[in-house]
Amino acid sequence: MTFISLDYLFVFLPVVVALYYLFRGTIGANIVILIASYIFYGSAGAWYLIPLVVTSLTDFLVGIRLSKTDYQPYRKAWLILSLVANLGLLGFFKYGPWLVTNANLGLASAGIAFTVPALAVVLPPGISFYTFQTMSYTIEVYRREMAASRRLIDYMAFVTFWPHLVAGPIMRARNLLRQLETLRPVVSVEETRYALMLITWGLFKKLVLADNFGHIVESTEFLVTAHLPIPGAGLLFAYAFAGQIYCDFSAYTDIARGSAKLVGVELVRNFHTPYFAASPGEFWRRWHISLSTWLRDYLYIPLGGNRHGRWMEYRNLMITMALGGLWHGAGVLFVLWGVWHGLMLVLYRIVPIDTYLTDRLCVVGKWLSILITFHIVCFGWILFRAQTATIVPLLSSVGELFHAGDFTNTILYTRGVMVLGAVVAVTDYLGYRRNVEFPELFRDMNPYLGAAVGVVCYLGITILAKREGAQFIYFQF
Amino acid sequence: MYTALLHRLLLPILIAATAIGAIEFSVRLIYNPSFWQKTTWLLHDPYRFWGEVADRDFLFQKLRYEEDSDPEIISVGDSSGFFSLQSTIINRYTNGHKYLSLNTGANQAYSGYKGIAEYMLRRSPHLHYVMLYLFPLILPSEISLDQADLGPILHDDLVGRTALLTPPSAGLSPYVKSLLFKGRNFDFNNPLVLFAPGLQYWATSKDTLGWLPEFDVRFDRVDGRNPFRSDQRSNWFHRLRYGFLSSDPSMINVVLDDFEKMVRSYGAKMVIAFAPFPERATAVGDPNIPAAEQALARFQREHPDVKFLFPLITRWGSEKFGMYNHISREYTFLSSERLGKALVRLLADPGSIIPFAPSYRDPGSYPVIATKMLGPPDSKLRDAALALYLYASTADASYRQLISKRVLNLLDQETAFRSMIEDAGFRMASLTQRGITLSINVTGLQATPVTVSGMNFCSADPEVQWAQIDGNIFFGYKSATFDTSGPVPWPATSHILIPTIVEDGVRKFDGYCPEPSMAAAPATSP
Repeated sequence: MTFISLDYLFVFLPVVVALYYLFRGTIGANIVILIASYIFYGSAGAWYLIPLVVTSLTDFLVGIRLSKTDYQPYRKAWLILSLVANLGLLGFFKYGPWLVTNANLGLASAGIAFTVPALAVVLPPGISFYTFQTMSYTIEVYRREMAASRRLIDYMAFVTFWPHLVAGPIMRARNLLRQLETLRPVVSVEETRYALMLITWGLFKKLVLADNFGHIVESTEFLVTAHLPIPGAGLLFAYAFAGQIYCDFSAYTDIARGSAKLVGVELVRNFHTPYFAASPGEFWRRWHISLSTWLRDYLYIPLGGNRHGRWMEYRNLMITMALGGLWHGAGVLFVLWGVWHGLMLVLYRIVPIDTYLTDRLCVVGKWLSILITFHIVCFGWILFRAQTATIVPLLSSVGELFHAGDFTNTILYTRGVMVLGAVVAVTDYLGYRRNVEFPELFRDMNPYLGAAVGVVCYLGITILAKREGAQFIYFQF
Repeated sequence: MYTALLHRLLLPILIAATAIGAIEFSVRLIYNPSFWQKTTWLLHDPYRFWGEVADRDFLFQKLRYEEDSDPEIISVGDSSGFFSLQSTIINRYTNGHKYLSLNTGANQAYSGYKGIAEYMLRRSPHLHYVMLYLFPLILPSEISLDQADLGPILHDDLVGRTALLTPPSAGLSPYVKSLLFKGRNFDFNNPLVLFAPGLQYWATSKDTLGWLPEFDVRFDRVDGRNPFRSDQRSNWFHRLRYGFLSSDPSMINVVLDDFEKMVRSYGAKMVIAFAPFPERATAVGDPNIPAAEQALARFQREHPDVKFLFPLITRWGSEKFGMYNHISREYTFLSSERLGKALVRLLADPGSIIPFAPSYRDPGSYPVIATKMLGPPDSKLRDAALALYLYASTADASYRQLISKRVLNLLDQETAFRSMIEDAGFRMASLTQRGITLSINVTGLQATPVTVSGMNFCSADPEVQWAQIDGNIFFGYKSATFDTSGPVPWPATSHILIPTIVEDGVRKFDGYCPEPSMAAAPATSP
């Protein structure tokens, strides 16, 4: 089941919300959330529940153990057990098949007639999200930043909470678990309206914007692979994918936040008009905020952060970003994507281009910085999305812009990027002006204007949506 | 609290819902989109380079012309029927009872087949027989259902919830998308699939009642084996997944039973027909074939009204197939005739159709076929070897000149063959009138003279020269607006071996052998 299915919107969500309110104030409320989450997640494949339950139970028990002892070596041992279990699970499912394939290729190229048995495992959706989330729980308990959860139901509901289970935001235990452990007030009329608007806007963004951007991404890649003429395909590919991944992922977050709100839970903001960032550092404060803060708190700072001199800071940035790339998937290109962002973060630390431009050119400099950062990010998206076989043709297609004769396809695809991009640019600019994400404007919007927006979204979906919407991109992570 | 609830939530929602209702009603009133205009079966992706997904368009073209033609017999099923059954030929056998092949692709099994059948049953008052025409390998199994990704979607789009809930405004989608993303008007009468076979299908499907000749890569005719899939259902979870809650361990029985129930609920009868199988393509000792037969026999016992027109496995010469499940275009007259004759029996005397019973005989082993190259590739050898293929495709008499007298004598006696050539001629003339040219370019194929041992062949002529064909064949389509051509590889590993002889100083095709199983069928004149 996904957020964009009719089953979710018209059966699952209303029934779960109704049952939640029926049992609100009792342990039954979290049991409803837990069962609903298992149904939501298990509908994609019942066996996916096994690693989820194993992870949840392991970290629950580790949390209890950590809370029962003050003896530091024991505590450390329990923490290591949790980290090994979580990272082991992640490694087995996510990196195991990749490592085995590459090991076999290496053995074959070395002429060794031995093959490591292939791992025929399917990656459980969202495993990177929930393992990071449960790890954050044990780390926080270990650091004594929060007390261990005593109620299994509450804890399991925290790990599996369906709105964010598959693609985040990655919630800290001290935030989400505490919300689930306490009696939450009945959601106000305003918040309910806001939640419905978040869901409606999320659906529009996913089905109309993200999926149509996706058409352009797939098609430009196909044309390049098939050696058909499309000068500038690399640029179109990058712009379209920038639109697709942003609209897709932020749409998921909007629907997740809206759904969670209906059962009284606040999920953290995951995006903040990221393409208006003036530097790579600012981009990471605006993009996938829950992951970048997780990496900052549990990786970059423990590595030393910026406390041990400039070179150590650069090293820590590079390690953090490379591992952040690897978190997204088993592949060299994901690591390169992380390294690219690491390099840009270091570059801007050494040469603060945005500050320089803004100081010299004021507003023009600011917008120039935004434009440069956007293109730095777009280059990264090529590494993130393209295949090893398509990167070179995509990049070389940009050069063809200056000497190619047939621009028919280029013009056609540019039209699409501009039409869809205009919607993203205008709506995000409205949010950027008020220093919020666009959907947050719905909170204070006149309800009748909101109704009009809802009607527009509905028509957009019925007329312009991709027939049979595609899966959310971040499910694969 | 209640005032806020009313004014700040319920009323805005009500107003939005009313506005949506009013818009939908207006669209319905003014534009009144048809089922095919608003269905989400067609994707209308503005950036798909080759246009619509071919499988989706094939069904759309089939149904748009024929859905209201009130047939009495339809077949649904996989591509063994799509490429191999020419409704126009079969209808020459059925004495005015209209038959329509609605076979599509195995990726629409089985819920898709059921959806098509139900869609037709709802709108065809005289539809009496619904036939599952299947390639035996693609009997219901967990694997075949796993591979049928379009099946549930098709069912939902034709007769399920989506068909019911898709609003009228969805009918504006192709027009608005085309204007917005391409800057041009959309027209359903323009082709939706933009590669050569798709364009050919668009241009001819009205005349052919939705048939397209195969344009396949060739399978290995000598060593290609195709093991059957297990009929066994696995755990409870799979049962839930495929939507069949029964604890019956046989997937064949569960799926066919479900299909039969649906057909019966409309007062029609279910018929099952199996496509021919390449003579060397079953795996030796395959345990799943007898198991499948047992399951089918059980189904027959439980559903005595269901008619099986053929045994599970009817072996035909490998040369009659493109892929192992698609009859090659020059032999579709045979597969059509086979079904046409069976339908005559069904219509005249259903009681004469004997109940299904296991009859499969394992081949034990296959004789080894060996080839030896005799010389360099020869273009005259190639032209002769492909003469029947090209004659059946074009009805061009110049190719007929390159077919041996023995073969012509056999073929000219076949009414179905004459019908196929007649239809091809009519089609070509119709296309020419519309300024459309279909082309088959075989210059990318080479014919190497070879000796062949171990191969079944019906002619005793000692002068037979075998040709081994390989390379690329190009199918082209040219009109005022489209000019496209694409290669299809016929690899050397496919062992495409075709006999030729020299008659009157000219090298000619001599590769046709009648099928013994056809002789066993009752002779019926159309």
